[in-house]
Amino acid sequence: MSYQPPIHPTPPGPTLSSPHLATTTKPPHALITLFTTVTTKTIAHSFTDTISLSLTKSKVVGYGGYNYAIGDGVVWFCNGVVRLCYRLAVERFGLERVRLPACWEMSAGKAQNGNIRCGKFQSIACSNRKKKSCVPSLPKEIVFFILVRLPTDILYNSVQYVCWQWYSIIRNPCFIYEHLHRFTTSGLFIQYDRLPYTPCFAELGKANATVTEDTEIREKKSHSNIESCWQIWNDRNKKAIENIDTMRQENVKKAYWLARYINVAFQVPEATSPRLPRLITWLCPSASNMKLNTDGSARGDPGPAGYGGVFRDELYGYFRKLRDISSLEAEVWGIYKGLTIILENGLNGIDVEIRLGRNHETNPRG
Amino acid sequence: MASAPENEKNASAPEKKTLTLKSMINNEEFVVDEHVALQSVTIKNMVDSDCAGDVIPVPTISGEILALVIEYCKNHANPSASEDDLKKADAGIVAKDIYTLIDLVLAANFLDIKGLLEVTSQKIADSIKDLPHQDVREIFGVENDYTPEEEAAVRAEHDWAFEGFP
Repeated sequence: MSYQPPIHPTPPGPTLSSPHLATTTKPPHALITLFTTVTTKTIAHSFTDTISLSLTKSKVVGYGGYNYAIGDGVVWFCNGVVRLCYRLAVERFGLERVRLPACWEMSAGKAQNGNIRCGKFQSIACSNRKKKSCVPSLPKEIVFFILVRLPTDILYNSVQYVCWQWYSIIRNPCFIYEHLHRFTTSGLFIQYDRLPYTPCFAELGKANATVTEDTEIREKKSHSNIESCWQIWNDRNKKAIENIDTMRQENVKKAYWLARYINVAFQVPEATSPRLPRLITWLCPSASNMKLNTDGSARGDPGPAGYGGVFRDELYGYFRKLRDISSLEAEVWGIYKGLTIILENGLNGIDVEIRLGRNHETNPRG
Repeated sequence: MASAPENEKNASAPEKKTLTLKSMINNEEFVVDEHVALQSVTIKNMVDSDCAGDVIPVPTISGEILALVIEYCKNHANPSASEDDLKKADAGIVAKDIYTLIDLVLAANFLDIKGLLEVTSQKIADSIKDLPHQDVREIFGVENDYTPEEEAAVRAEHDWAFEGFP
């Protein structure tokens, strides 16, 4: 069977959702920030990348260049990125009203106390050094119990180097799951620049992330939406009574999205079995190469789907919504689109990383 | 009329049994009320299945640690204690050095006392939070089984994330 060039399914909405190539000068189409509780240590370690994202209804589907990325709709924790991403959010997107979780300031205070305690503690540890031999090695479940109470940055900066057993405990999906439950301030910001909507804060800690919006922002948004409905009504009256065509496309689009969002908001969430989180790692491309990450996913099989991809360093990104197809197909679409962009732009030296189900493949390409 | 409560008292008095816990390490014995000791799921199971004699031997737990455990159980068996008081009392119990805490967490695990296990783990987590991993290794008596290559590989996993940051 010869290879048939695939035909893009028609997107289900206005032409808004046509494939889109963002460049460095423009903000990438979506910014996602993952963070967990922050201490002063975490602020020093921040991330440089932005992430690609496509939204399939209310489900987050995306992929990105963070070390714990988002994939297949499951979100991972990572060591703190907050400060940087806040900066990114403010500088690039002019988001001055990004709401900061209250825990940030609190953590800074805690860290100061922590230093004092640290000094005290070390002297205790020294005076008891002789006792070392009586300490029996702890059973694994107790180590688990202790480690799950440590903040993420400590786990990643020091505790995982203690020994292999501890490393494997930390990388265990059950551990990640427990840890996510405990540190409920984990979450992500979503900024979607193709729509006139301001950022959302998705709080994690449950198996399925729920997206909540800043109430202030939402009020403003609904105001403009209702306004546009009113304008449509006025336009319609003018057309009917005075026969003057003043219908404005943007209002229709706004109303369309309003309707969609209301529709989504009232949908009863499907009962899905909780998925165990897995740790997703991201391999850094060799120095001379760019890297393409793609992902696709569908809600239902087949169902509304989306794919997205991001090129590292150059910050190209693309995404698209698709009509009812299976998730595998969506993944393939993501790769196809990425490869098309590579061909069209004559790019060289690209690593492509795709992820299908539980398998993880990396294909270095010339 | 006055005899009714008296009868009740008489009926309940023999029920208020005591148990003797004996540390097998230094043979110290502790006499505790049954309802205090029953907070340990392990002891409760032993009592329920009738395999507990008058003296319950507790292996691997020293008398010093057992005293702490019993103190915790007594505090929590007191129905009139407010939550704030309990928190203060718990904080007092776990204000020990890390080696005692490790023994305590092992005891809590063995005796299956959930509250004590949580309080102690939290305290240990707080204590090791600010220590470099070499010190943590020493405290827990863990051998470093990383080869230098393996450790470098683990570190390299995240290096890219810190590119361009001081």
